[in-house]
Amino acid sequence: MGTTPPKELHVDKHVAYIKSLDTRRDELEYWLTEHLRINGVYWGLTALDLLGHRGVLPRDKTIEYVKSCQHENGGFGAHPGHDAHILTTVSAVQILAIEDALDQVDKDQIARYVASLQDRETGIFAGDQWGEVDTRFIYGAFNCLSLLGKLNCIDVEKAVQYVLLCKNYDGGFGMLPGAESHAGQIFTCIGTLAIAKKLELIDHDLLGEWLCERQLPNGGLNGRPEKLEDVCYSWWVLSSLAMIDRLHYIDRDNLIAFILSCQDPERGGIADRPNDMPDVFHTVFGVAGLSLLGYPGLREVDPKYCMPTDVIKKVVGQPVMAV
Amino acid sequence: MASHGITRTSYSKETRTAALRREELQKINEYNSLVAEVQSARSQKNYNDATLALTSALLKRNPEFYTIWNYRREILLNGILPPAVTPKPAPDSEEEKSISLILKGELIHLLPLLKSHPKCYALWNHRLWVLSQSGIYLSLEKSQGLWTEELVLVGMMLGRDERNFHGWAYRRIVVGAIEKGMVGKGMSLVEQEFEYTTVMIKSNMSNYSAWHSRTKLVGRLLEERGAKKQERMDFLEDEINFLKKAILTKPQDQSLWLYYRWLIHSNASPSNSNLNEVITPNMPHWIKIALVSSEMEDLTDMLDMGGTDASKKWLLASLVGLVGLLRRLRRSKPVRGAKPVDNEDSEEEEVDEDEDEEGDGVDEKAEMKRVREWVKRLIAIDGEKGKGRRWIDLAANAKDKQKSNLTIMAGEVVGDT
Repeated sequence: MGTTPPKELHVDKHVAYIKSLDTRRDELEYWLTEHLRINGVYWGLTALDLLGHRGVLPRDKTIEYVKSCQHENGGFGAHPGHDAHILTTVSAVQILAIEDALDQVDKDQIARYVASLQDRETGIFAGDQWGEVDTRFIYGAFNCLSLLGKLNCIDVEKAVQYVLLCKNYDGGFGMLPGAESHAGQIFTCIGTLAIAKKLELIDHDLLGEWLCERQLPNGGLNGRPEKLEDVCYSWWVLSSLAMIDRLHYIDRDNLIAFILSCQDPERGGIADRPNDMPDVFHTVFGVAGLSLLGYPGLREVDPKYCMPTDVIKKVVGQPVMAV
Repeated sequence: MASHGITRTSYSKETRTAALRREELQKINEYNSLVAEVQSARSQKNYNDATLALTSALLKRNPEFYTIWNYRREILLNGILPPAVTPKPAPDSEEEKSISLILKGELIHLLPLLKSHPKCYALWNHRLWVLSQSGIYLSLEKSQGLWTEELVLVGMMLGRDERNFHGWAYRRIVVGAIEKGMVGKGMSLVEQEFEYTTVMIKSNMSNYSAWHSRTKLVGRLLEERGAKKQERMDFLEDEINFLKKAILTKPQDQSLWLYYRWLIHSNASPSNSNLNEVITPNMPHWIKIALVSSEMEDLTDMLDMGGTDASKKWLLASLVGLVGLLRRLRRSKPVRGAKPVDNEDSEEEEVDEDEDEEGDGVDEKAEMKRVREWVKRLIAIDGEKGKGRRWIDLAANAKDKQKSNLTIMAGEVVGDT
């Protein structure tokens, strides 16, 4: 940690930082990250919302932008000129849900695109028509189809069975059957089971133990045993613990101090570790982590979706309690 | 946008000189003209060597640009490779050689990029796509050759970063593809892959990825060896000894203890839940009890060996787990009329009894006293906030009769009886 860890969240700095992101066209990085643009809008919009600054991005412009990323097959790309992919389609649907604009798109068309990516034999989802498979894509499908109210378009049971095949003896989950447990993949698998209301199928104590051991003496969380801490795991680990009702297994004060120490106190934004360059990805997952920890002044976040709880209540219905 | 490990000072925009800013603007212009050129070629459906080279130039600058990988695959399919036909070109024909060269060239071309971007999903994904094309276009032998060379590449990548989870997952896919293409009975890479985990562990015993991989290989390894009961027992003993040496050197390393839990619990639980991941599926009930009891003695000795309490956390946690396992074993017994134990195929099924049953001559009260002591030490190590809460929860659940029935493994072991 830095010499004097900051005691507060620099809300105004972060808001200014996020608002400035689209004005950084004189930086090569801005252009090199175009393949993450729509994800970036979702990250920024969610962070602003949780920070209590709902509606500071121009709504009409945002919705028009999202629509400009849609392809004829119903899927969305990262930006105009970028191909449709399930991960960018999820971000598009999440943005529209937050902006309360899902009625402005053809939900069935989007759902058909997502459903077309499921292998009906095994239940797994591909990222796009080129066939890469990963538990991240199953979660993506469950996330956006449940926001669209179209989970019935896919074989939920087969997908759930596939997720269970990715479970390891240590209680965690990997990207494919046989792959090592990884906190990011655990989030996607637990998120899928939570949305499918199938959390009772796994051992919460065992998983809770593996997840809480991610916290290191400096308060930060890592993603796998014997690895370095990183702010983004404040989300992947914490949200998974929240879904299985084990959030209290994390030392709250230490983690809050760690996240706050990763802020850029001058220009705003949160980085992976103290004194590193901030980005909007770590900013939203740092802020969302703080929200789960009950940091004062933040809007409540839904652990399954990484979206404001009131939005999820409105779009999906009442929250599913952890079993 | 998702930047990892780049320091703030190396980036600071305000401190850039005018010359540096000019240089960056020029780079932006160059990059954006290249993007425009590639996108325009794609919209005109230009699929040829020249556009393939254009995508190379762009992907070298930005390998994360997934859309350009898609275009590259379109070029390969529509402008470089001949149309896929059945039957495939004759083995060693000129046509096959030329296709093989194209695919090989594609894999070699990607190598420097993979070295500089080992965590880029798009790169690993494109390699798999290229390799999958080899199955469509080439004879089995040629295709197998490409997959086998790929195994060498993964070894090299894991040599550079022994924990790269892309690399480990990719390795399993490559091995699976090679095995699928192997002709004849008993063709398998499981021995070689198991040996690979041993080599990786010997070079760094904290490599959890390698220990994990072992849990996935061991069941098949023994099955393919046709291992009988005694061989399996010997294997388990060797594995415990191999692990214990590592534990004695680095007792605070959780990778080792996670593997320890798998090793003991998956083999000695009253019922083996996942038969693919078990060394001794037919272990008789009394041997399970003997094994766990002997492990408890061994760990208790280690506990008395000195050293700080903090270094003993995993030892204590494992002991608590072992007592839970032992008590579950005492409460279960073999199904009546089970086949004789010397029958190799016998599945010794066991049932959990609802009623508590006193273990033969076991002083459970003394056992409980020790466990409560261990849990106290664990709470002191992990603290009363955060991690330590799981021990506090465990102790509380144990006192709650209703809950303790649900959490036999964890809860009962610390309950007041």
